[in-house]
Amino acid sequence: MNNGCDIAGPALSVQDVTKTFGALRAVDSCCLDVTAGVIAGLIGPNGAGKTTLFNIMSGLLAPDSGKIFMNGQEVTHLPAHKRAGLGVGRTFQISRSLRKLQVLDNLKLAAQSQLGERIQNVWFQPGAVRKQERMIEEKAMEVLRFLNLYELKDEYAGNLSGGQKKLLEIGRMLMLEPELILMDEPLAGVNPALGEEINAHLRALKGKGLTMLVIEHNVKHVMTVCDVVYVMNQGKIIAQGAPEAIRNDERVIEAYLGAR
Amino acid sequence: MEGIFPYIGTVLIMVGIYALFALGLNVQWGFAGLINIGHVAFMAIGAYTMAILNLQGVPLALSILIGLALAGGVGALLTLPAIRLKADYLAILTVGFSEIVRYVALNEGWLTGGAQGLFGFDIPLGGVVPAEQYNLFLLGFVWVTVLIAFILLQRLAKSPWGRVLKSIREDEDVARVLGKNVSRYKMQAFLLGSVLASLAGMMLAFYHQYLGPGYYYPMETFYAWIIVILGGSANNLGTLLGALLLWGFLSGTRFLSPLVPLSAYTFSALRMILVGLLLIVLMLYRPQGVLGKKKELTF
Repeated sequence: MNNGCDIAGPALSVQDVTKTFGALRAVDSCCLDVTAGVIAGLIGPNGAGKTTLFNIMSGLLAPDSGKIFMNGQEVTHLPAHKRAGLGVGRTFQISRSLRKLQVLDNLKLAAQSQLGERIQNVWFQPGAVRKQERMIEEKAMEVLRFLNLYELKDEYAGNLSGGQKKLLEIGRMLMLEPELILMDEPLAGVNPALGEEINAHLRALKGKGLTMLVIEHNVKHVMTVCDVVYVMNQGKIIAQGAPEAIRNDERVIEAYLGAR
Repeated sequence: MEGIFPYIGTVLIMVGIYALFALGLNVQWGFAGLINIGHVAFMAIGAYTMAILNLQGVPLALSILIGLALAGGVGALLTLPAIRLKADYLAILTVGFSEIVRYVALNEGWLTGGAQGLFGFDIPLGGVVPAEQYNLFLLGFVWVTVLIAFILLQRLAKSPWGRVLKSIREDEDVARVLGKNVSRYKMQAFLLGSVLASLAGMMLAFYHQYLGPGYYYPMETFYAWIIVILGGSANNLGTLLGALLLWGFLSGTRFLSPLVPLSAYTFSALRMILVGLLLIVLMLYRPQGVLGKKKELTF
């Protein structure tokens, strides 16, 4: 049986990954490859294991078995913070903006390789730290303007609306400068107008050559934004293909609506 | 020092020592959100190491450095088991650890002098500064140390390092996926805090020219907590203010003792009850402490 694994070097490759919680097989021998430069969708009913798979891919959870490759490099046992260094970004389903940090600090935090994150540099090379901090701040301002959040830069992130928090998470991804972004429901709880705006941002990111894997429930958005769609149910990838083909797939309809 | 000054001077020495002690907790709890209920252990480790080595003939400066290094190292190591656990377990682990340290100090008499404690160790410039001026010298010594620690910590608080600590305080997973090595930062916070606690422990030993297990009850840790909460978590200046307020209150009310028809012992217990009440009122009306930011309140 072809379960979807392929040997070529995609941006992200999940090979036969399984994760159990007690008797529950949350992720069950999953295989998934995301080609570089595409927006891939990951859909499936609630409890299908999408977020668990995301946690495994971003390194927050260790799989029981299977392997994860990113840009051809095995990362299965690499801690989460090192995956970020390899160019992997991730956003959360329920926005996890740092509510007690200001919007600007939320963005600045995401910049990589900061000199000032080391104590000895803060104490003994304050000049170099300040200089880099100014550059990071300029970039953060640019990102805020791009996302139309500039006026809110000094606001605590906890005071933003749900949609603005989603934008802030995208902003953090822009600061992180990843090559691959894992997005857990970037459109959940967002009003349609802002949803369109976020979709436009995603397409712009794709234009810059980024690869994205997006969990989404809104079928309309999936159809318009994604190049390829994976359907997950009960821990398994049950279908994959172009959005149009997926829409009419019997297994997918059954997973969502139950057997006829 | 004569008249009222010795008393005020003594109080200010204690304010400085406890400010140093609480600044350490503020790095751990205020910035990184790590719950340390065994802070006093590092006070003990630092002071005992310094005194034991010095009594064995090791020069005082070297004994101090080894004491600081040992306390910092043990503090950092203590986060290792906690990395795999949730934050609350760090609290249980630290309170257990601090009691172990105290009981070891109490029972291993061959090393620590047991219940009698240790005395006769050198004090900084002990032979140079005349004995009657020593408290004045110590007052300056303590506060210069506090000032240096404060400046270094302020720099960290406003740096990207401080920003990472605040992100860990709120959501470790976010910090992780943004590429921050959370375990390393927790270790650093614990190391720094433990070094400050041990410094405070040594100062206390220099002040009393004695140390014993009676100084290291869990109550000392709670003094640090009261100071940090009173002044405002994650605010170094607030911590200094908190130390001043707590010692000001504890020392100021001492004069009221003759006016209250209670035994001295009962009255001292009453003062702690009042401190507790003060904290409850503070939590109700100003939970962020005197100088803290309400929007950054962790709980």
